[in-house]
Amino acid sequence: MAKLSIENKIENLNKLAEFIENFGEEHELSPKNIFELNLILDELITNIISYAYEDDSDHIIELDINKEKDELKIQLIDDGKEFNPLEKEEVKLDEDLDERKIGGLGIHIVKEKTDEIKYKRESNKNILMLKKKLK
Amino acid sequence: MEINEVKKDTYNLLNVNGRLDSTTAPEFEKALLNSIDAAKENLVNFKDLKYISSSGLRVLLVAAKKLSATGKKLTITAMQDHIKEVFDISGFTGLFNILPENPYEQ
Repeated sequence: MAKLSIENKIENLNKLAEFIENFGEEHELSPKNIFELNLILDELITNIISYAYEDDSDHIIELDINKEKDELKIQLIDDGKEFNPLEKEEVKLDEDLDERKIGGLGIHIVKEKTDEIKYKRESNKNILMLKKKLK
Repeated sequence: MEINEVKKDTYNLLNVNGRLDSTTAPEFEKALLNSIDAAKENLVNFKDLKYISSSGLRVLLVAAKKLSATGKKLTITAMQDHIKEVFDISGFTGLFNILPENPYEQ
């Protein structure tokens, strides 16, 4: 099990990338799995840092990653405002350039690159549990 | 991330190296919006791009929309397979002119 506490500043995404590189090396993940794991967590944590907090205080986002056989189990906890990514409207991928919306792609990518996503709100925290099969 | 701009009479090309995420997307946005010129061919070369997130895709979409007002497409060249796959799952492939190699490679 690997744990990372991330302060809600966008430059900390570099720490995330480094953490995932180390985790990937330690567990002998393929470059593709490392890239996708980084992408999933980058999208989720960027969203949290950008939208979850309505004050200027420091907040800590807690990340846990567990490798079990050929699967990664990931838990992400933040104390921001309630946000269930599963309830977010799906982006329309078949629209022309002119109609194509600018936002919403991050969550779409997360859904595409994970095998299971569960969300719960508990003691004023968002708890996201993800599973990703290693291929 | 490092950006290197090539300006020629008929085209403008940006070489983008390294990681394109929410920490570097603002710099990329500035460079790309400055570089695009409706009178020329506009290319972004991703040969040495290692990583892209939706923050980078967003910038490409903004630039492509700006160009499309003049009937032109933004060209993306030499994407590595894992980057191309992010384009595919995001439904971006049809929105850009995608080339396997940079045609102006020196």
